[in-house]
Amino acid sequence: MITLKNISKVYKTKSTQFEAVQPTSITIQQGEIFGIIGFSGAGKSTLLRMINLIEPPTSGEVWFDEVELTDLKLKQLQQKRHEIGMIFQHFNLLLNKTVYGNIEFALKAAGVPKSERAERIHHILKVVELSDKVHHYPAQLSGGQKQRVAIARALVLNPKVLLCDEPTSALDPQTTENILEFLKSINEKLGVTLVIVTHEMEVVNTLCHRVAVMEKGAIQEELTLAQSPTATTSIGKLLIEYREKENRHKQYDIRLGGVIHV
Amino acid sequence: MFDNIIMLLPEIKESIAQTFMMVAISLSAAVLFGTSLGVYVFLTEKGSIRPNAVANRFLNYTINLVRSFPFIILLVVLIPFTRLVAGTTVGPLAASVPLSIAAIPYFARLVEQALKEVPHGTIEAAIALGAPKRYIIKEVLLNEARSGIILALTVTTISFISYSAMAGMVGGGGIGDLAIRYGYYRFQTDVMIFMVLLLVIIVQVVQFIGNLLAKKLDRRHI
Repeated sequence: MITLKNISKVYKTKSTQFEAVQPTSITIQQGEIFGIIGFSGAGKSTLLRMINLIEPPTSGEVWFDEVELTDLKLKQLQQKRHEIGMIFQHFNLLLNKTVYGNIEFALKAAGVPKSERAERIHHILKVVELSDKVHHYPAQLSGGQKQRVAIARALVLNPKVLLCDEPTSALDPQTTENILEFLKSINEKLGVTLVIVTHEMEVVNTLCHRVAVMEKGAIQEELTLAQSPTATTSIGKLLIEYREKENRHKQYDIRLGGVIHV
Repeated sequence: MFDNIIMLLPEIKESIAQTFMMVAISLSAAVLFGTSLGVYVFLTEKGSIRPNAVANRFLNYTINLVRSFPFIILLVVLIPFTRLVAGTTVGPLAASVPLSIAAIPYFARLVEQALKEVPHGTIEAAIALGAPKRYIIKEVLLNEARSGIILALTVTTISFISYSAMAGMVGGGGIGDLAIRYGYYRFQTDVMIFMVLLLVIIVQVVQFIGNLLAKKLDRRHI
């Protein structure tokens, strides 16, 4: 579904140059939840942002659904971007517009006629369970609610992919859990492919089918979590360890729950 | 005590009308052309959404150039142009030409500054949605910066009420000009004080309305 071929990003100033992403290739399958994990400055956000070309790559190709995005004219790229939703750590909502206005902006951007907009907005607000906040401004919402508005804004265009740039890093643990469950259900019920950049083990463990570990601008390893892989990088090892511990906890909780029930 | 003022009442009324006319014309020019100029400078900046170093540098130099002129000199320099546009070089209509020329880059710079306050992430989110440029300008840039732009317009209005006093040089008239001609040159101190008081009130009112409107339009905080 998404293929990055030898994609790289180099930031140049007059005297120095910094390779944020070394030539990297990955393929993301339709319907999967693909994680990119790494420390800050590893280049994971840059890599994600090159998928929809809001960060133009220095070299390499981006393919989406058999179309080379890096080869498109701006107008065609804008069309394709309607199929690639994106959410951010700091939500990036329009603060002078209501919840309704924010979602309507996405529909306007995609050229959806006015007659269809209201129905689609109300429908998607039901999906994210924010129907009662339709006329609120973002400043009147909690962090979790803002992120759900951002998700609604992305989903209202029925994208095939949702790019998530640290979607829960600005949220408290409970809200994080709520948003992660929600993202999972989007993937399962609507079949939306998710690409998630994060530095939180919990996010990867709860959601991801596959994860790429990124360090110093390069993908060090790719792990398929269901296959109990062996990791070689320190982050990968931490992740596996975390996963085993969480799974043990889960079993323990279930057992405990059973005892209480009896 | 108020003899001078009472005698001058017709002139005072006329001067108020002249000030309003000059300010209205130059502000209209500022809003109409200055806004687009400010937006364009913002868009063409390095790292913005339509970077164009050549256009950006040219426009920046031009804005700085016009803004460097002491207004009274700009007024004189522009006399041939004023004659071309207004058909005359005297009167409030003629004075509105150099006022407009000065107001456009003045407002453009303030608009550009207001747009810089829009968080980059918000613009990025709009780009990620595949929004065409015109929507990003209208619904993201101008809408998110609307309070700042209203305040910019307020500052511009007040500056140009003050600038319009110098338009007296070319017979533009106006409140400030009356204060200078009668109050200063003819030593009618009461007239001068009255006219200055009038300006103080107008400026206070303009600023009050500007602040109120900016606050009302700002939804970024609760």
